[in-house]
Amino acid sequence: MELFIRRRLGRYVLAYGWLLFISTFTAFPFFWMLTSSFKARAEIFTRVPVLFPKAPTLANYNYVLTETPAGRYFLNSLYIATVTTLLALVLTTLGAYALSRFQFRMRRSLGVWLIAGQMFPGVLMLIPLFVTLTRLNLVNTYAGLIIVYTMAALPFSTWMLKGYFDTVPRELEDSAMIDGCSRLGAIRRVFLPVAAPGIAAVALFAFTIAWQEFMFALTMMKDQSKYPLSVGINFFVGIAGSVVWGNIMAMAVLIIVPGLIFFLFLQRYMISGLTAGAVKG
Amino acid sequence: MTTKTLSVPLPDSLERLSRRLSNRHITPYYYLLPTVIPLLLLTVYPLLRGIYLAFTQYNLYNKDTTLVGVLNFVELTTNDTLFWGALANNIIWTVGIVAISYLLGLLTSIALNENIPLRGLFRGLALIPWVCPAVVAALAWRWIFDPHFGMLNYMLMEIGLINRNIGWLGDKNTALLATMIVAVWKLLPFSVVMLLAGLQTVPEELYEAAAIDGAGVLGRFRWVTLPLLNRVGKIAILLTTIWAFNHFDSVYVLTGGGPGDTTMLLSIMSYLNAFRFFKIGYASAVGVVMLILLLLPITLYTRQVLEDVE
Repeated sequence: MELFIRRRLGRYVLAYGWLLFISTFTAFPFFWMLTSSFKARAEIFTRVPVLFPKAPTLANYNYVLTETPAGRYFLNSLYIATVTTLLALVLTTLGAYALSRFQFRMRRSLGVWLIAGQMFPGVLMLIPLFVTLTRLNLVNTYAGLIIVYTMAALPFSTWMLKGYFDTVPRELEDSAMIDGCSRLGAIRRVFLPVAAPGIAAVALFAFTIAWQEFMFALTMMKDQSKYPLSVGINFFVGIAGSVVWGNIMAMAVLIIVPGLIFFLFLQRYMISGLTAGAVKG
Repeated sequence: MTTKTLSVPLPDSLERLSRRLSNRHITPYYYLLPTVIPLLLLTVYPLLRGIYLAFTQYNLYNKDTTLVGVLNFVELTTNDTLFWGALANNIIWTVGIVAISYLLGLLTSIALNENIPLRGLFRGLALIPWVCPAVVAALAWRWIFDPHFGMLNYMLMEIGLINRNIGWLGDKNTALLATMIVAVWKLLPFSVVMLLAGLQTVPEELYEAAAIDGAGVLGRFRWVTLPLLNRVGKIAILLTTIWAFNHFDSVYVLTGGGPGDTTMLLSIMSYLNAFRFFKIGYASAVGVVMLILLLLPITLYTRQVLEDVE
């Protein structure tokens, strides 16, 4: 018994030791951004780094929101990401349903494409899309960027959704159809409410892609007034120089917080969506 | 479904047509259209078009789509001073990141799988990089790496590991390593989540049985945990390989490929050719090389996932 306890204690100490180390690594940059965004300039450039600001100030946020287009960038990102999310949901739901419920020719090929479709080098996809969108006058427009993001989100969203739909019992729609619903009616009234967590996970996935993406936006958007946050913050660093760290970190916090809030609410669904297919049972 | 509601008898052929249209064999295709059409336009077409462009000398001025054979590839492999270096960097970068993030992810998920207090808090902390866009991660780390005011130099000095400041991102010897640290930071949550999910499917009885058979901690890890993590581990490794190999954002922001091309990756090389020098065909050729090198991991990954589902 004593040996057992000692062994267990040893395991605890090891586990805590490692977790402290690794969470310092993962969380420190985040902590640093957050506290630095409240620092006055004098506390930014010190030989001995200041962990907690002695006199926290909102000056950085005030400056970023009034003197830079950060608010504008924020709205651009919000708009682009929201429309991308809605579009991805509309385009994938029925297709994922068909993949989950029906047998049809090319079913396997479609599956292969959905899985592999997000793996191709981003630049290789970006180049021809850019050429085509230039010809269609869609470069430097929200619509153009939304199209590109929908492309990026579509394959995996469909696959993820299909994985979730597979876990919803067929009998659900069958019984609704016996009660006189058409299949579409059964999907809308009975199936979708049950499948909501999977749909939420896909929404989070699509939103995150559009919210975090940089390369496509960097290429597509020419007007500063149309930049999303990711390109906007990089542009700001480029013109302000990497000296105004307090301002930059305030802007960084503005980017992270919405994602963080979404993530806290939806992480369980997101994780189950990601690991579905990889982990059985 | 719809044929049932028809009360007026239809001519034979029309009825057959109507049955065929509403029949199970056709319905799936209606449902698939909204997904498949954008998929064809936005993923199949660009991919094929991109591959095609790699065999042309298309640029934004000449718009010349004449096929020139493998000219771009010959130029790339024999005449481009950047290519082989970028390829080597890409491989070192990818292998390093995958190995480190898998190892750290494994240790972290094992620790998180212990039934200890504050587990939820630690899991949350380990997943934080996930919500941080690569650009923002790059900016935060750029400051941590700063030679004069950065946290990293300060800490290493305090511990006594270094005796003068290192210019992490500006130094040719450390720049690639520094960009790798940022990429590991960003990819770690994914490894943790995958491996933790894998560990949680390992039944406790297996450990007990192994313990009764005399296996110690390491033995149980070697003979129970690792084999059971096989599948999920393979998926995590393949996915991180593909992502790391394709990565662009944080390196572009951190170093842009410098100093002296020591962090030049294929994705950055392709991007610069396309959008700085407007050599679209040539840039596509770099993309095609990336695609060829990725074919094996992509195939393995796709096969593995399909196998798991069926």
